[in-house]
Amino acid sequence: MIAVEHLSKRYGDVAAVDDLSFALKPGVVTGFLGPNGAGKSTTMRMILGLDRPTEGRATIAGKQFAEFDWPLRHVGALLDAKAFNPSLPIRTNLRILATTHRIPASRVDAVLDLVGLGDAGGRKTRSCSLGMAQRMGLAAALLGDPEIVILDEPVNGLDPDGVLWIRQLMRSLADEGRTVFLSSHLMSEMEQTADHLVIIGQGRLLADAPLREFVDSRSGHHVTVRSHASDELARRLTLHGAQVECPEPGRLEITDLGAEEIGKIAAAEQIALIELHDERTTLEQAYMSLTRDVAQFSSPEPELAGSIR
Amino acid sequence: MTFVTTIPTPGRQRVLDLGRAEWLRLRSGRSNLIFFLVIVLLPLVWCFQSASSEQANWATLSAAQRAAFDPVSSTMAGLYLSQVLIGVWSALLFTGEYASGSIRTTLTAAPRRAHLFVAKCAVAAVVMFVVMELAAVASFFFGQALLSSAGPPASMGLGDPVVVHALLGTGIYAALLAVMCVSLGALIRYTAGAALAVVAITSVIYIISVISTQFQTVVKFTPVGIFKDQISQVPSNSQWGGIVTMAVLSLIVAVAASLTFSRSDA
Repeated sequence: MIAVEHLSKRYGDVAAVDDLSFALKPGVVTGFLGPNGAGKSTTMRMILGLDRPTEGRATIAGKQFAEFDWPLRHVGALLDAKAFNPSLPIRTNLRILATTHRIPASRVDAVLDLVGLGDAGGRKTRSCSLGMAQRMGLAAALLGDPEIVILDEPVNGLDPDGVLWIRQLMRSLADEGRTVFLSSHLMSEMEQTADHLVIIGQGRLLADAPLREFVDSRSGHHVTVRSHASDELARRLTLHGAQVECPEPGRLEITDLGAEEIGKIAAAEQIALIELHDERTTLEQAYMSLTRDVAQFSSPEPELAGSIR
Repeated sequence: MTFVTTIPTPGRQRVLDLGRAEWLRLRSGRSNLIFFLVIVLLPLVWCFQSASSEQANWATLSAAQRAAFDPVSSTMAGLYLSQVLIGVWSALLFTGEYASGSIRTTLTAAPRRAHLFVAKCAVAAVVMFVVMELAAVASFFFGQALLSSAGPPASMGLGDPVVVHALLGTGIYAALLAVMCVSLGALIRYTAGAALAVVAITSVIYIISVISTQFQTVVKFTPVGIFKDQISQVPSNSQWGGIVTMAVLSLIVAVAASLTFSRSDA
């Protein structure tokens, strides 16, 4: 379990992370969301002891990362894919890591097989594509068979097969009872992978909730209807207490009335429908509505993005 | 999906584990071997040059000049280049990791940074001691062979305590210089800057001392001045005194680097 408590990181006057607190549970894939420069990477780096917090602390099962007897056996991390010696073969880079933890070479081969690089171990790290480098970074993260896996933008540069594969891998890691923490700014990807969300903006916590709960809480649930007699239908529906908007001729967006009732009313009035569609809010829409609200209420501050690191 | 679960390891990560990993890193890089060969072989070129010029000049020297001839430094002076290369190679241990970004991966595997620092210094010191000993022995005996084959300048052998001092002193100097330069790499982080600092302490200071005579007393307490004493028959400072000075200097830089490295963001 990871506990982040009042974590702050300031570079001069700029706060990259600002009084951030959250906890990560085992057996769950937690998605870490936020725009570029929100402080996601900095937070992950502080959990791993790479950056020193200005204030607060991040602990893993009550300990700092550097306090573990064998750190890689507890936490595996993929921060940036190309963080290896470029002139050495993939397998050698992993063997060097393994040596620091007395992990046998057979385990290096096993994780290379697991990430689909079993035949590419002899290749120079420099010659890897971004996708291969991501797989290599994943192999490094899984090397110590850790109970916690921290991944910064793991699907970056992966092809659709790779994205699907990573999603299944995250799922199975969590199902084995491990804590999985992954950052991304790809909402659609996150929606399909994460169980829980931690959302930050400008270094501050915006939301910490189960994904479904978060999306439903921001649900602007409506039904879309298309019909050649949309004006007539709109009149009838309004009489039944619905809020009707007409974004374009022939199409209606209806709130306060469910798809089933709308269908019944249309049938009773003998109005033919071309489309009747119950729109669920996507994570992306929920996220956008959250960041809009935050932007409204926060005082204008200098833009953080880009100035960090 | 199944995972190969590893057998739990007893104990905890030690400096020795990190040292083994650093040794594997070092031995896997093919460019390291080339670099070491250059360090050992480059001074031999100097031996040719030195021997031929000494022989050409010998006839023109006065008796006093002949008595002052130093066969140790004349054969081992090529090692000046070796010690510059040893310094640059050592500085790269950290700057190379910062340049590629691999320092972050290394630190997630070795988060106790003082341990990592000690491991890198130790591996560099041992390896550079061996490489410099090879260079010194090769250079000395090759140079002596060239000198004695042509006669005039007296040659010396392992029976001379001065020679043993010179051979041993250069190796110990190289080990201490390696620690100092690994530390400079950790402090400066950038290859160009660290290489510049290494070149300054292993050669530029000496050039300044040749230009400015007031500077000569200070130079004895700098790496290149201490090296000069190691290969001289007539040291300007006692030879082991130079080693002690070098050890103190290296320790100061190493402690400063270790503290900075442990406290700064990676």
